[in-house]
Amino acid sequence: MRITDKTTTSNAIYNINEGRIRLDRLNEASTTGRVVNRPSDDPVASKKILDVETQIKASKQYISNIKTGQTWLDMAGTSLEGMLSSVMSIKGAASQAAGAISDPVKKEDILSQLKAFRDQLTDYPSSQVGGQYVFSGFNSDKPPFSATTRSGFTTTVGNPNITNVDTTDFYIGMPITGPDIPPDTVVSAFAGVTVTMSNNATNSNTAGTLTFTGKFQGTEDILSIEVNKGVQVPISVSGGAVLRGSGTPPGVDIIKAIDTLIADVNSGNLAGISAANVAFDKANQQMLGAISDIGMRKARMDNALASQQRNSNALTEIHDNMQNIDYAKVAIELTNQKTAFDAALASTAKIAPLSLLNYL
Amino acid sequence: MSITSIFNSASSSLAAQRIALDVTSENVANVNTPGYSRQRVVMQTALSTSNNGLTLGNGVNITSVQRIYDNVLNKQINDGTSLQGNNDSKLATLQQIEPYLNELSGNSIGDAMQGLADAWQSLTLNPAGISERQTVLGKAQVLVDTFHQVSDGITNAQTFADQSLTSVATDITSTAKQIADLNTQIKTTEMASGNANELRDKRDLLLQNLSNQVGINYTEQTDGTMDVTLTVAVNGVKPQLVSGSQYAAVYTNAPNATTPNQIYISGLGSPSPIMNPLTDTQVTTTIGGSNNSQGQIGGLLYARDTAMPAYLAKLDELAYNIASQVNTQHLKGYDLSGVAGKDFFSPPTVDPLTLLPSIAGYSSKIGVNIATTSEIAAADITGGAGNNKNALALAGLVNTSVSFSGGVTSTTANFYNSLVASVGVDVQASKNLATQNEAFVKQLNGLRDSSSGVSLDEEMVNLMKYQKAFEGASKVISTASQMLDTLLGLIR
Repeated sequence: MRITDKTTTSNAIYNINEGRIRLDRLNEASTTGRVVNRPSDDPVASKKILDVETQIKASKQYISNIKTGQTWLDMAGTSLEGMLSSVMSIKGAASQAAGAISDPVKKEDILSQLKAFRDQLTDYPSSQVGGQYVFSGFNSDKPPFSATTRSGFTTTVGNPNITNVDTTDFYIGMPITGPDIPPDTVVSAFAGVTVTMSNNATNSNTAGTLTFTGKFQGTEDILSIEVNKGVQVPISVSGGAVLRGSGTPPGVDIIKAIDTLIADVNSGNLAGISAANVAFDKANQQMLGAISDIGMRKARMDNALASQQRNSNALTEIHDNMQNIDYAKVAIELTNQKTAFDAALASTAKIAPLSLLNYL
Repeated sequence: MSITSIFNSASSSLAAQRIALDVTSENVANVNTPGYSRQRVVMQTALSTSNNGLTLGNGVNITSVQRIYDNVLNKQINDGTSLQGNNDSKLATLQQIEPYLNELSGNSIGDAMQGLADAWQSLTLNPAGISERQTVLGKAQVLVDTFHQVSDGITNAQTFADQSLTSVATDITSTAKQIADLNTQIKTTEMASGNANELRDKRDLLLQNLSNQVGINYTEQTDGTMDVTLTVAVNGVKPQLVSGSQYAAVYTNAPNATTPNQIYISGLGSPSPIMNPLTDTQVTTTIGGSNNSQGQIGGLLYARDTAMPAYLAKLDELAYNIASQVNTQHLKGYDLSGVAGKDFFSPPTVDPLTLLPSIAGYSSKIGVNIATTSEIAAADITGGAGNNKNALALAGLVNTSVSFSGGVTSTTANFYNSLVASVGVDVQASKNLATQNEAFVKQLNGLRDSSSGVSLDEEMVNLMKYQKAFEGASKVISTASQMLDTLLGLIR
């Protein structure tokens, strides 16, 4: 084959350029740390890497969901533990009540204890996570047991009857307060729009207002979050179901039971007091049931978290295997290519100036 | 045999060696001229004469100055160059859009889609939270902006290809004109028995340049002129680009500002006739060869009319499916004020004739239809700020498969990842072809250089050879002159 000056130069240019391309690729790999830097580097691997990245990102979001869910469940669990201890204390007070009703001092002591426990019971569910009430269902922007006001009714001084009042949610023994209502007044009886109080009204009024506590303001709905593709775990607890027995199936209305107990202690109704013992046994079971439900959900969350973390770790490993360069390999290749490139430059520099002209 | 005949044959040698040195010097001068083919002199003994029964030579004649040239190789180089031009222009356009979809080292639509899905998930944790709702709106806006950006990127690449057509067409006309001019010069020179080697080299180089721009067929006529036609026939005839001294104009013309350029070829003439799109032949679909596989112009037409529209269609479909998936679910929910949810993304316009949504171009028009955070329908029934059921359903959409055209059913993320991979496949194929073509043309050029290229070493040897021959002939003349002097001295 006849080799001309141009053959030598164009070969040299082509091969030096090829060498530079190879060096540039290796340099890109070692500076970015990635095997695939653009889809055209390896389209098949690109698709796999992107699919895995999508899954890793989703997994991260699930982990974040689970962590928030765990906070909700912890909060609900702590509140339920508090409620359980209140219920147990009420039960203790109820068992002492039968023997205490004959002694006015002891009776007063038991009554004030019971009222304090009642307040505690409605305070515990007011726990919040990030401004949301854990026990309020979908009405998570409102506390589950805030005071309820009824207004626009008529009272007559010295008369226990209130007329023209909306009696929804009323029950006998329910404590009520208001401007014309003496302290420690409870509902003695009610029918239609008329309520009989345990005390007489202190004033006549055609626009009276009364306030009672313990009405569940939330909804029975349970807030759920996604912890894995299509898997949802409930994270809220219905305050109504736990304290008012309004869930499905219906449970013990603990608030009403306390109010009834207070009324019974007040009136010395021994049969009522002993019935309360049974009711609070059930209430105790109800609280334990709610706590064990939270425990189960926590276990599900822990399990979901562990599985997501395992999943995320495995995916990250797969991703890194496909996408992270092997520095040792690149370094060796780089050294090889550099040697080859050096040789190409050196031999070109030696060959190019050779010509017969130098000897003429 | 007389002394004068010695003078004659020596002087013929002087003349021949001088011409040979001339050719050598031309070769040396053009060692780096692109397209130059080395030349060599063909020497022949002059006709011999018979004298006293002896046959004696009369010196040397130069019969021709030959161009070392391989026609078949040149044809191959032109075909290779045509492919190379085609592929280079395809690659240039494809490489413009690859960065827009490079999810591997930057963030594009895939990241924005995931961002919105994460925002929906966060909303399920606090459905009434203002910052969570703000995040959903913000991430939706990011997704919409990214769609616009990628759509613009692809459209710009398409416009770039369209605008490049004009300059390539102008180049083709200018090259055709130069070939026609050279045809005239070669014909005139050769009719006068002149040597048109350099002109032919120039014409070959122009043919190679023309092949890079557009696929051509060419045939040399008996008068030395070269006829050039396009490769694909229109109405049964391959449009002629050059015939003898005449050439045609290739030009672009867009009927109005919003439509892409159409390509026309005029009739033959010298100069080419005035362009008239109404009567000239339209070659938009044929000038790039079959499947737009020839020359730069084919590559640009492929990018403009096939590759980019296909990507845009996929992008539009993705945007449409994401929007309709989210809208359908969002319409089922209720917002913070208890009002039924409205379209989350602005829906595509509906074609008044077919009553179908017009998906084409949707990726550049998609927008967020929700103005305030309270309008996000996180609840599945009216009332209840903490109701996250619709938000849960919206968050779950990323895992729901949707039907795409061509019978593909996949999640939107998977469809997008496939789109990225398909761009990768196209760019990779184009890059591989470019590398192959470069090596192929380099190989052919190497072969051409090997036979037609100038070797300085060889020329130096020739230089010495002809110089020595010249010296030899001079010595013969000086010897003959001395002989003549001796003879003339006898007479004195």
